[in-house]
Amino acid sequence: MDNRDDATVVAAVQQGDVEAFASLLDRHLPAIHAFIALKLPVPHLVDELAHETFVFAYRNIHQFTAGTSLRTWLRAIAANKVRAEVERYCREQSNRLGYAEHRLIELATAQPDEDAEHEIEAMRKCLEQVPHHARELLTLKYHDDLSADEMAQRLSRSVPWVRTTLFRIREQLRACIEARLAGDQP
Amino acid sequence: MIERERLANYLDSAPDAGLEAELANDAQAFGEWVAQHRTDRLLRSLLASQQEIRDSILSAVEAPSLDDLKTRVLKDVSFPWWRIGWGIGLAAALVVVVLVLLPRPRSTVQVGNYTGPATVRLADGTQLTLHRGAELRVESADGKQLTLTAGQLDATVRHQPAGQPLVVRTPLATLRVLGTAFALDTGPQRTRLEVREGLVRVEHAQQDSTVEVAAGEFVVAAPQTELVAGVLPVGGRPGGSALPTERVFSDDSPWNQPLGKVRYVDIESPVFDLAGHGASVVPASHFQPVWVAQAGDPPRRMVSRYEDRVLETVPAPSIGERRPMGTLVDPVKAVAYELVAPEQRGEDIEVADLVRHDLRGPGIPPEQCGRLWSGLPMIAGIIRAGELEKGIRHALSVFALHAGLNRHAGNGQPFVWPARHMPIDLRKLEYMGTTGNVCYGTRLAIPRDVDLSGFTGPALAIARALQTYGAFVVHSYPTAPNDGQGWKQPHLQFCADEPMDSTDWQRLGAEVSKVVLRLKVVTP
Repeated sequence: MDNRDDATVVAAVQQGDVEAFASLLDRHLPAIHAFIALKLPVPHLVDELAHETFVFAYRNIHQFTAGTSLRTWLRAIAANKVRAEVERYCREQSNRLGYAEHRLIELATAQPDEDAEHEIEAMRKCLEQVPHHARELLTLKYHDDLSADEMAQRLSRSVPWVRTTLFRIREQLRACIEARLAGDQP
Repeated sequence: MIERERLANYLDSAPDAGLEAELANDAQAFGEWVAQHRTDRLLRSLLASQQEIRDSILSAVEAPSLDDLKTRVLKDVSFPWWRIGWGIGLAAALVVVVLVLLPRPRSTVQVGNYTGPATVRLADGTQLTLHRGAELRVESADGKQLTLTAGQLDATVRHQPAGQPLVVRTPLATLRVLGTAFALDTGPQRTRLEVREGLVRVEHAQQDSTVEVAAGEFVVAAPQTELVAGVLPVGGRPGGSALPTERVFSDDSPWNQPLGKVRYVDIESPVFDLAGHGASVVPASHFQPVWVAQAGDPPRRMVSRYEDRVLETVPAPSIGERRPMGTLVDPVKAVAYELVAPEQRGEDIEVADLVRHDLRGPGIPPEQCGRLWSGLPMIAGIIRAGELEKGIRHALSVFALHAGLNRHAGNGQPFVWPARHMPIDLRKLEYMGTTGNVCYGTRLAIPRDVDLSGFTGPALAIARALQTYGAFVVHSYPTAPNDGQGWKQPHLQFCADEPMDSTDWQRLGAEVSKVVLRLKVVTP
């Protein structure tokens, strides 16, 4: 565990310390990855853009201004890459995107970057409050990447039960996020 | 109002073609779908392991030297011996695994023709699986310039930085990859790419032709022609099979050629009684199943039942108990293997004989004969999965009653082009008739001016195919004894690659029996 603050670690990276970059990655990859996932809801491109964002940051680390927020700088890089990618993706997929996908991308890109950051933070907090049985289901689905069939088998439940329960959990999480964003919860 | 369960299914990737349109007209449901989708994306990002992407970022920023890269590549070439364990004893003398390091700056990995696949892992985690006969050259210091000079390659490419794609060259094409999974098969006359994930940009090496190939699509590069792209067939269905829905055989194949200016004459046969006996449509699984090799199927030996030798080694699913005939399709190599009396024997498939058909060719075997008595490929005119709904874009095969065919109709022979030969068992000839204008290879079709508006559904699809492409007589069957129950043996028989329980075959047969009343014999 690297206890140094961002500024110190960035300075080390600027001096050529590649290993220090791993520490920055551990601190900021999850949030930047989630930010990209919200702004560009195309699963196979999220990893790719997260990769590009951090490699770009490494190669241009000397441009980072000391005294400013590294997270904000990384988010700005990611946002630029997302904008370029959305443009390219929508152009290439113009004849393939359905109404819902198209609108989803429109809505995602219209959201201010700061709002996305708050939404991610709210989700983290809401996840901490998720009951054990729901957490188990989320882990099987999103961490272990099991299909609904596999989950149903594992839990001795039906596939419709798995799907509707996940639907309900997501619904509760969304309500929790909205309440936090509205300031109704601490 | 869209039901919640339906939305839940859709979010879990269950296809629902109509839902998209409904979402556009239901603001509340659309809002719910957006909320669910955003939450799903966030959960996926926050709960999934990000170890792989972390590693790939660190690999990219570490930038190994040329020597380091070569050392890693060559050290990590690994051979999954367990997959070829069956051959180690008996076939030891045949197994050739060659790993050659050519003089700098090129490193070459070759895989022998009789061994299992070899795996190459590049420094950034990209994994390349080379199959029998493949040859791959690492061309550049950073390992991002590769040349596949021959053979098959399966690749899972880690995410590449923008502007620095992994480049794979073949004699006919250049692929630029940013992070994806694909299968590549190359030879001197053809390069075929199938993309499973992501997007690959492909440029023809000799033509001004470039395409971007997305997941679920393929592209073929051949000399002196532009790149040809298409959609990959849907994967195999449980308990059945799925022939490629793309066209099999070349575009100029008689199987894919619509009828041009032709003449039609009435069917002449003293035996055919289409009004009284009609036609049937049977599921392929009934007597000539089709198996399509899927990604991940193990290579299986096709062993001759009588000669104690391996005829081919082909990726294949397990095919189960013995069948009279069957066809195994290798979509990557675009080859169909006609199997005579195939049967699963442990990991191997035992066959009485095997005939190979190039699915890029004309669909008329030039040298070796097919197993049908016309010599034509079994799969050529089968109605493929989904075509009864979506339409049929090729000629059909039709089986006919022995006695309805004239063994002298083809200038004294029992066949006309494109049929190739007569029954191997000459006694079969004795059952054929000696008058009429129908024999193996005869094309039957419905004339253009016949109104088909009285037909609907699958029967209409078949009628349209018979009007546009016609049907070749490819095989015949003997007269069945009278069962005393009033059953009438159909005098023509079509075949569809659909599961047994997917269709009301009896009803379809009754409808198609009305369709075939419009058939005529096509003459040039």
